[in-house]
Amino acid sequence: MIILHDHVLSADCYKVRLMLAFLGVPYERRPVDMHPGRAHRASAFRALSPLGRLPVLEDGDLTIWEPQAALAYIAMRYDPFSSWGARDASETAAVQTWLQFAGGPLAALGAARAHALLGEHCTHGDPAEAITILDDHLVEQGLNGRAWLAAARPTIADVACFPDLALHEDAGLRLDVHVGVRRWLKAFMDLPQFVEMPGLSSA
Amino acid sequence: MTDRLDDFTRSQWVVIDDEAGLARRAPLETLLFAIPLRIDVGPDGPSARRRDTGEALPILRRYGYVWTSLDPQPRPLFEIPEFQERGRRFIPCGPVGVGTSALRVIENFLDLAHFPFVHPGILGSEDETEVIDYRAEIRRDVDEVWAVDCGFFQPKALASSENEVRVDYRYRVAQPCSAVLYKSSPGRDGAFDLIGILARPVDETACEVHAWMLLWDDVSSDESLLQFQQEIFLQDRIILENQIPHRLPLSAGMEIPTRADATSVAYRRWLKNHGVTWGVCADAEAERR
Repeated sequence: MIILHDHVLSADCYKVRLMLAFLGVPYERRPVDMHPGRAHRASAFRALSPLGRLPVLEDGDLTIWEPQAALAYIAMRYDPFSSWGARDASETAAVQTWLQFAGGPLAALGAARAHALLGEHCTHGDPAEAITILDDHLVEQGLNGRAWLAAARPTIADVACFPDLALHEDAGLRLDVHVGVRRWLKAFMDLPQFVEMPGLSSA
Repeated sequence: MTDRLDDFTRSQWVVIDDEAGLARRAPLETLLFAIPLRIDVGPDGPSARRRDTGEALPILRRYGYVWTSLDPQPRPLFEIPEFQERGRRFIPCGPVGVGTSALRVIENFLDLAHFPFVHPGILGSEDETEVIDYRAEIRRDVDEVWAVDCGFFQPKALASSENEVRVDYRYRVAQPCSAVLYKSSPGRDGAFDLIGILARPVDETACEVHAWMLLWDDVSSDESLLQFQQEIFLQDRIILENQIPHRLPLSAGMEIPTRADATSVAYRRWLKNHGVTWGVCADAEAERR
C-alpha cells in the first residue's frame, strides 16, 4: 500500500491527495506535525526528504519527495489509459512546462499563503506575475477550444497548479479579474472524484 | 489606533504563544493591539517589552502558554481546573493568522448553528441542522459568558470517534478573546474534553489564533489530533475572512440573531456592558450600514 506522509494544510500534499483520489488509488495517510512542530525539518524526516519538505510518497521500495515527481509517477504507474500524463512529444513539453511552473514561479503564491496563515517569514516574490501568466495561458487555451493547461483534457500539470491557485484566499488574494483562472478552477472542482481541502474558495 | 483600546480589554492577559512555539520563534517581534513588542527567551524564561517605549511588560506562564499584558497589573487569568487532572493530553495547535477582529473569531467559535454547513461530515450533518435548545447566560460571579445544555448530532465529533453521536457541549467565554468548549468525551464516559481558543489581537482587524486541546484520548496520535483541529479551523478561517464588517457589531439590529445565536447575543451584550471598543464597530459605522 502507498504511504503518503501528509499534512492537511499543505498545498503540495493536496496535489498528491487529489491525484490519488482521481485515480481511485488507496493509500495510507501518515500525518506529520508540520505545524506547529516543524517535524518535517527534523533530521529524522530528512532521511526521507532531504530538503525537509512534504509530501513524501512511499510505494514499495520507492521514495518520492518532490510533489511534481509524485504526480508523474502516480499517473504513469496507476493510470493504465494514460489520460493524466503526456501522450506525445508536444504534450510532454506542455506538461513539463506547467509542472516546472508549479514547482517554481507559483511557489511565490504558496509562500504568500504560508506567511498569511502560519506567520512563516519567508522571502517570496510577487505572486501576481505567475497568476497573470497562467491566466493569459488559460484564456488562450480557451480560444483554441482547450479548457486545460497542457491539453484538451486535465493532466498532472493541472493537478500540480490547482492547489496554490485554489487556496489564494488563504493568502488574502483575490482573483476577480482573472477570468481564465476562475473558470479553470471551477471546471477542476467539477471533475469526478474531486476532493476538497479547507481554505478552498468557491471560485 | 490604540486610543480605541478600552480599559477592560487592555487589562487582560493576552496569549503570546505556547511554550514550545515561543522557544522556536524567539526572539519574536510581533504586535499586540497594534503596539510593536519584542519577546525574548533567556535563561530565566521569557521576557516582553514594548518596542516603541522600551517598557517591560509582565509575563505569565500558565496552561502551557506564555501571556503578557499592556497593563502592569492585569486582571487575574481565568481558572481551568481541568489542567490539574492527571491523564489528560494537552495539545497546543500552533498559531494561525486570521484577517479579522479577534472578537469575530470568538463569536464564530461559539456558533453551533454553522457546524452542518461549514464542517459537513465532521462536526455537523446537512441532514440534521437543528440545534437542540440550550441556555446562554452571563455569570456574574466569575464575570464570564456561558452556554449550557447544548447538544448536536455529529458524524465525527473528534478525531477518535467512529460513529455519529449526540455530543453535549458547554461554551464559556472567559475573556473577550478567549473561549473554552467543553464537549462530552468519546474516550471517557461522563467526562468532558476541552477545546480552547486564544486570540491575540494584532490590530483591530487581524489576530493570531492559538487553539488547544485537553483530552481524554489514549488512542489518537498527536499528529492526527492536530491536523483534525487544524482542518476544522481552516474551514472557519475562510468564512471569517469573508465576513463583513471585520469588526464585530454590537448595536442591535445590524445582524439579525436567530435562536441559535443566543450565545452570540449574550457575548455581544457582555462586551457592550464592559465598554469594549477594540475590534467592535463604532456606532457611527453601525448606523451607516
